[in-house]
Amino acid sequence: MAQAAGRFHARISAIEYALPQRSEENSALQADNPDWDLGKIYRKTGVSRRYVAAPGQTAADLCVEAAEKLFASGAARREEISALLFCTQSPDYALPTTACVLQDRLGLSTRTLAFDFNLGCSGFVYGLAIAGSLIEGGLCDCALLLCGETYTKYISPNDRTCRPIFSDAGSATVIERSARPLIGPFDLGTDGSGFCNLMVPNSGARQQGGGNGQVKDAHLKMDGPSVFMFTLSAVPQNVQDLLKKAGASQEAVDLFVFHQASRVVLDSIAENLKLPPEKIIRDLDQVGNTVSATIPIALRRAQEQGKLKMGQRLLLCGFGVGYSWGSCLVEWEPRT
Amino acid sequence: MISGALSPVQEVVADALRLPKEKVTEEASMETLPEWDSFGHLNILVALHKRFDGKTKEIPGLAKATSVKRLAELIREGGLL
Repeated sequence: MAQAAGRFHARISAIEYALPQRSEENSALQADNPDWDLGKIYRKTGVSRRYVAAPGQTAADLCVEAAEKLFASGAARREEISALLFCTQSPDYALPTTACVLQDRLGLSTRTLAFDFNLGCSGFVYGLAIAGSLIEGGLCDCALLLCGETYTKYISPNDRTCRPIFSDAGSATVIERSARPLIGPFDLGTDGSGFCNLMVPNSGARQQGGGNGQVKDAHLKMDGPSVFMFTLSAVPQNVQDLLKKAGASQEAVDLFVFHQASRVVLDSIAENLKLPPEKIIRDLDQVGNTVSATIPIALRRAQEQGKLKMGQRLLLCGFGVGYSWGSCLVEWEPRT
Repeated sequence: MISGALSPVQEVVADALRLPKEKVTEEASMETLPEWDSFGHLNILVALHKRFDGKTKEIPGLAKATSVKRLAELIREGGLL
């Protein structure tokens, strides 16, 4: 079982995000699929609005927009960045590494270490673990973690499971060295036996089907019930394992920020862990499930709405495609 | 023998799908009940999870069980009834 323990002398300094210009409300789904029961769909998903990247607009583009917004705000300077981590399952190319392209587009130093990592819903927490490790290991002082997705490009317009949930976005988070350990511990895990329950077949080197002149299917496929049962099995245990590792109780956590998978998932986790509603950040309705970007976007929007206070102890938990999952504790002390 | 498990499972399925219990027979499945679509199935899994105090997460294959009989079989084999 893969685990990463310990706390890092690092903090989340700033977060920004970017959404595509075009958004789609549930009424648009009805127009394309008149037989869908939108009330039933909304009760399950909790999503009213999703964002859809333009043709030719990629996850990298959205992350560039988020990063430029962050630099323009003065929250961080691009000259400070010495590591660039790009979490996406929608890279610009199979090769070269999109992070290399982003280093150039963002005008970062050529002394920046940069790489992509392919994770979805657990990506932000894994990204914090990687950035924290790089900082703690002396490989960088200030990292830029970009989490971006354009899952809508993988989804069939008639897919009643996926289309009402997933949304496109890019996020940019600066993680920098700090005097006190403000990130960690972590508890991370993987169960690849569930890989086929949320996947885009024929999207890489392994190809299947397509014989006898049939077109190979390359749409996102999700077995909702199986993924749901995985969530119930993995997430509450992951939270409890993390708190045990930290020697902390649920009561010691000020706010829980889960990956914004869907309403039914958040409700089930909250009920299972017996979490009071006021301690759970929910930010699904107007943004949708933006995969690895849900947690940073939820944090930033909570910050904008005045819901976060300096010094608060946050528990972040990402889980999903892979299956992959991870949680960590963070003390909230951004620069601004 | 799954007979002991059928009735509680039928009750849970009926509640989850908002159907009268008499409509959810032992033979009921995703093929026979229009209300038992993918959303209905998720409702059933949530309801079973609550009914059995979260222990259904330990039963492999439950997510793919789309009939009352199969659900009851797995619940019974899982030692929950």
